This record gives sequence, C-alpha cells and structure tokens, in this order.
Amino acid sequence: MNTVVDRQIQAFRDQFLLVREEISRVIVGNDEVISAVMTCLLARGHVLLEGIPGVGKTKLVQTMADVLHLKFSRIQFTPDLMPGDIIGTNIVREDESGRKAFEFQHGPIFANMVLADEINRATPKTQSALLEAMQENSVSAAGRTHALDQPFFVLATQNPIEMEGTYPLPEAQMDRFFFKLKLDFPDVEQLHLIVDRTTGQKEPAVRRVLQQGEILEMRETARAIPVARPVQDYAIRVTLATHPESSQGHEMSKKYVRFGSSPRGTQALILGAKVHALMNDRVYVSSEDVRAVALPALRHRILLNFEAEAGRIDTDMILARILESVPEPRE
Amino acid sequence: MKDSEVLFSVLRIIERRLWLRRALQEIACGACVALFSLIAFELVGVALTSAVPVVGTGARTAALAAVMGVAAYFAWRALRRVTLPQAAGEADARARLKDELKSAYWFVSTPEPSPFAQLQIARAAATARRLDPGAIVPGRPPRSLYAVAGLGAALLLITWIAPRQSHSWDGAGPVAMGSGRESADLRALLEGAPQDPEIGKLDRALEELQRADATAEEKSRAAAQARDAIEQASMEAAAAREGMVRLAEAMRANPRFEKAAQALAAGRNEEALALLRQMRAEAAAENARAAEKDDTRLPADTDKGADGGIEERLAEGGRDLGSVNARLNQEALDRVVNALQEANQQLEVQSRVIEVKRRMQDAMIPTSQRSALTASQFDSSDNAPNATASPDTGNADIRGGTMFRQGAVTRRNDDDPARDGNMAGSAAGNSEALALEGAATRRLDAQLKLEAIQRREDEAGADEKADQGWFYSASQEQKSLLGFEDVRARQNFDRENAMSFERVPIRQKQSVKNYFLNLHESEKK
Repeated sequence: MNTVVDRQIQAFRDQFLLVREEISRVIVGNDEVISAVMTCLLARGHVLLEGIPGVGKTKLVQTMADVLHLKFSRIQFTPDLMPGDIIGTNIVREDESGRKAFEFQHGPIFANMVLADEINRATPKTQSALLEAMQENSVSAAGRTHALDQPFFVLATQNPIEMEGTYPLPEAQMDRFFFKLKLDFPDVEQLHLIVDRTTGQKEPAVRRVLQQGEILEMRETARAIPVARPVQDYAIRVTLATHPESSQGHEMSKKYVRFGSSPRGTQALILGAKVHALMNDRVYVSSEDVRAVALPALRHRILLNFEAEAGRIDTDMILARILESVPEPRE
Repeated sequence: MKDSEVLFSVLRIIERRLWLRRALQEIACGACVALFSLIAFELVGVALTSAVPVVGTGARTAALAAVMGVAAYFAWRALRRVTLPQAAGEADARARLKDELKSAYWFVSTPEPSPFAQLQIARAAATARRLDPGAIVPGRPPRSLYAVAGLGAALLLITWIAPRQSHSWDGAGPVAMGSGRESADLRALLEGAPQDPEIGKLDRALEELQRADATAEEKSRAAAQARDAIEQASMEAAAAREGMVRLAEAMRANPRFEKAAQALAAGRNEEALALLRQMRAEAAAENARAAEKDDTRLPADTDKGADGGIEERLAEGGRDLGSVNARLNQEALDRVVNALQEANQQLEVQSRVIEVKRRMQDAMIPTSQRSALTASQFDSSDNAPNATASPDTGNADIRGGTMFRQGAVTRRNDDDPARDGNMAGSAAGNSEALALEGAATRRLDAQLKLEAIQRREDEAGADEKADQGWFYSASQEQKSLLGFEDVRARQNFDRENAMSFERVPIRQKQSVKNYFLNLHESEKK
C-alpha cells in the first residue's frame, strides 16, 4: 500500500513541478507566485492577484490556462458590467416548430478557469455575482441552479494604485479568495529576461501538460494528506492571534486590527499547507508548511482599523509578528 | 519490530535523557537562585549591619524559608515527567525534523490511520532508527552547573571574608551567629575558676547565649551582661595589680620585706606570698613567746577591716609593713596575705575572663563598645585626627580616647613598662602601651598649649613657679580644627539620627521647610 501512496505522491510532485516549469518559460521570476496559484487550484480555492500594471498578472493567468488543458474565459471588469454579463441570462428562443421557450445563455463564468481582470473596477453588485459561484461552485439564474464544471478556478486581478473609479471588494467577497498574492516589480536581471523574451521575433510558447482529470486527481491527493492535531492546533492559534478580542490575540492585533481572520482562513492555512507539504515530499503537514502559506492565506482576511491605516501598518507586518510570536507545537 | 514500536523505543530513550537533563537544569537553576540569594543576603548584611539589624534571627529565618521555598519549587519542576509527545516535539525541534516524529506519534495513536498516515509512520520509524539520542540530548552537564560552582565559590569566599568586615558589635546578627556553638566551650573555660561574682555573672550570660530557643534580643542582652562581667573583672584585676605595685613599693622601704617586695615587683606573686606567710608564722611564734614572757600582746588593729577595695587594702597593708621600725605585726601580715591572696584570685579570674573574651571575639560575639551609636555615626574614622584606640571602647576611634590616652602616658614620671598597660591601655589591663610619639600621633604640644594664670599677690609664694597656675588648653590650631569637626560631626549625627528615626534626611526636611517659607513669601507678594 505504501508503494501506491508513494507513487501517488511522486506523481503529484512531478506534475506540479512540470506545470511550474512550463509556466516559468513565459513568466519571468515569481516562482513563489506560480506555486501559490497552483496551490490554490489544487486546494480548490480561488486567487486574487494584486500588483501594479504591467507586472504580468494577466499574462500569468493566460499562460496557466494554456498549460492546463482547461476551459478558460476572461472577464474584463468595468463599471458598466452587469451581473448577467458574468453569469448569463435567459433568452427567448423559437424552435423549428415555432414554439418559443426560455433558454439559459451561459455567461463567461461557465468555464474551468475564469480570469476576472481588474475586478475592483466593477460595481459591488456585479462583483457579488461571483460570490455564489466561488463558494458553491454553482450559479442560480431565473430560479434554476446551474452546477459549474470542475475544476472551477477564479483568478481575479486588481490594481492597488488606481483608486479613482474603483470599488474595493466587499469583505465577504475577499474572504472567498483562498489566497491573495502580490506580484512585486521585477529586479534588473528579471527585467533583462522579460525584454529578451518579449521583444524578439518569437515569443516563447508553452504546451499543455496537465489534463482536467489529472488536476482532479491531484486535488484528491492533496486532500488526503493527514494533519496531526498539534499542527492543526498551531494553525488555529495563528488564526486566533489575528483576533483582537481573543485571549490569544497578538498585541499588534489588539492595536491595529478591527476584525481577525474567519474560519475560512484556518481552512486555507491547512489546505494550502497540505499542498505545500506534498510539494516538499512530505505526507504530513508540519508547522513550517503552515507558516509558508500564512501570509497569502490570511493577509486579505484581516480588517485593519483606522490606527493601522494612519500608521501605515499593513497586514503582512502584523502577520509576520504573529508568526514570530506564536510558538511551534512542542508536544 | 513494527514501525510504531521502533518509534516508541527511540522516543522513550529521548524522554529519559530529556528528563534527566531537565532535572539537572532545574536543580542547577534552583541552586543558582538559592546561592545568589545567600550571597545577596550576606552582602546586604555586611553593608547594612551598622545601620539596620537585618541579619537577626528573624531575617535569617525568613531568608532560609524563602530559599527552601525556591528549592521546593525547583524540585517540583525537576520531578515533572517528560511525556512521549514532548520527547517527540523536542527531538523534532533539536534534529530539525519538521514535526515528523510528533506527527507520526499522533498518527500512531489514531484508531485507523490512513494509508498516508501509515506511510508517514514508516518514514518516521526509519528516521528514528537513524537518530542518535546522544546527539539530540547530549549527556554533558548543563551550563548552569558551572554557574552553581561559581556562585558556590563566591559564597564560600564571602563567608570566609565576612568576619573581617567592619561590624557593629551591637547588632543582633553577630551575637546570634555561632554563639550557641561557642558558648559551651566558653563555659568549660570557667570550670574550676575561683568563686567570684563576675565569673558567676559571665557563666549565666554564656548559658543564655547557649540556649537554643533564646531570641536575638535575649542573646544580645546576654552578650551585654557578659561584656559587663568581663570589663568588671578586668577593672578589678587592674586595681589588684595596682595595689600589688604599691604594696611592693611600700614594702621596699622596710629591709625585712625587701625580698618579698622584689618578688612582687617582678610579678612572682606566689613567691612573695610564701615569703609573707613565712614571716607571718614567725610573727605568730614571736607573739606567742612574748605572751609567755610578759603576757603582753601587740595591739590588734581592729579598726582596719576588710571593707575597702583590694587596691586600698594592699596599699594600707604596705603602709603598715613599710615602716622600717615596725615590728612584725601578725594582724597586718594577716591582712596583707589575705589581700594578696584575693589579688591573686582576681588575677586568676582575669586570666580566665581574658581567655573567654578572646574566644568570644573569635566567635564574633561583641565584647566591647556599649554605645548604641557606632563611631561612624559620629564621624568617619578616616576624619579622626588620631586613630589610636580608645580605652573606653577598646576598638572605636574617638578623639576623646586619644586625648585621654596621651594625657595618661605623658603624665607618668617613671618608665615602668609593666604599669603602662594599667594606666594607658584598655580596661583589660593587658594591652601594650603606645609609643609616645608615633607616626600617626600628633604631638601633644601641637594640640595643647601651656597657659598660666597669674595668682593673686597674697597667694604668691617664694617659688617663682608657684606664682602662676599652669594648665593646658587647646592651641589655636586645635581649637579651629575641633570647632570645625564638631560642627561637621553634629551635622553628620543629625543626618544619621534623622535617617534612623524618621527616615527623612535633614536636607529634605530643609527643602520642605524652604518650600513652605517661599510659598508664604510669594503669597504675601
């Protein structure tokens, strides 16, 4: 039995590395972001990418769609975008016999990978159209519920520097994103590579390396990884440390946080840690795995107060302090 | 062996080593705290003894209780068991195994482990086989043991040098310290001593000191009584010695008693006593013969009883025997012999008492200075113009003592080293006289100035010197020096006094007073 499991784990790891390698042929640097996006996909989560314009957010998602053999759709969020434009709508269709009937016209959300580009440009009403789809993996329209094909994976991007004409995502919707990833500006070496790759006659091409079924299998494998209670306890303590009202709350949380992470944050910690453990050839989750995914899993689930805004304290700083202070399980 | 058994066996080894190491560490920590507390107690005791009696029995008992409490706490910590999950956690942390053993231990304890959990158990067992428990939990002693050794050495050093520190001998601490242990031997020194009230008083005081349940105050009182008895015995012995010298001087005038006088002057008291007894026997025989011849007896000196002090009786006996023409008076000889026997007894008492005093000083039991204030409370000993020991206090630096001593030494006309101690030394009567002018001694003529008062004309005599009354007064320099130091000493005394009773320094009082005075002034403005 151990051999079977061993093979399963090895296959998971190989496929993961293969996808990452393939994406890296187009995307320069950002290996951690690529791994985190893959982690989201395999943990059945959705990802929010944040970065200044031009750092490759959309390119990353497009490349990923190319590498994975999945149905991909892209929605460019604008202020006049309506929920029906995302979900779809009922239209009246006349058949050959002349009988008229309503027919649901599937919107772009009916895909395996959905790129919600510049999600904060749409109104909250439109943004909320994604809520049910992201949480329930289904869409309700005209009294009917339509299941979404698996895997369903939303990748949203947002621009942090343009505030004019944007609508910050509601807290409830932010919480539905498994990870929030930040794309940093590339360094000199990476910029050289980007210029080399994109200004020549031929741009690098990628091949499809992973089928839909293989992705679903990888998802199952990740879910099967066991977690020992002490490690789970550690993840819970990290979550509780973000709560200002908790007795285990960190002093930074008590000072700068209005609301701490939801239980979804703990789920994200454990699921992300499972994928991270498999990636590191382990069949159990360690506290190191929890720490590795803590920032992307929790940074968007913590609501800061005015004092933090005034003092330019961001959630990453608070989480870093929390991870330093929460002791690892010793028994 | 199954994977889980391998895992458990390795964890048990680590658990035992961890427990042993932790126990050693806790014991060492406890010892460090206890030793540090004792060192601090010793240092604080030495530093504050002169001001506050912090080293009394109560303080010691409290300190001992605190140390025992700390020891009990650390013993409890040391005896706590190390569990297997704890051992797994420690092994993971020390060998950087990323929670491998800990997770495996958890998976083993679950009822039906999944295939992934079983794989993890197998992997953890393989890791455990490779582990060296000695490398994870080294067998070397914890570093805190070195700290214990260092602190122990420091405590020994402090304990060793502590008696050399300057203590106020009126403090209850030195009395309590070791007095119970020493006083049994001290009382043994008094066994067989001549019957004397001071010996009895000293014995009772030592018995009190020996009593285990005596409080610090009782011991302090007993020490004071012992001190009084010692000083009284010494004074009486000094008086006896003085009387013996005067007796010898007086007897020297009569050739018949010259041998006895020489023996007495040389300190051969027993020989002198034997000679006098022999002469008394001769006088008795002569009296008997005379009584047979003319039936007349020498008149008895009934008016000369044994009521005076020993010095007085010896001197009186000396006068009776000193006359060259005097006959051998049996009564007078009886009185002299009796007085001499008593003087010998006093000297014997003094020798016992001196031995007791020496042993008490060795045991840090106070034997001198009855003042409640230490010399430092009057003024610093460094500021004293002459640091010669005072006969009053034995070991305190007080200017009055210096003056008295120099005056006493200077006043003597003859150079008899055997008597210098009596006149100028401590009350014990056995100390050596100081040099008249040493390096540390200010010349007397620098301190004192000979001044004269013109007598009235009707009182003027033939002698030129007799026209004037001479006396010594402080020189101008000495007056200014003494005046300045008096003022300073009074300030110091006031400050110390205020601190000891009210705990409010004079300066602070003055500040408060000035504040309210100024407040009043400003209100008026």
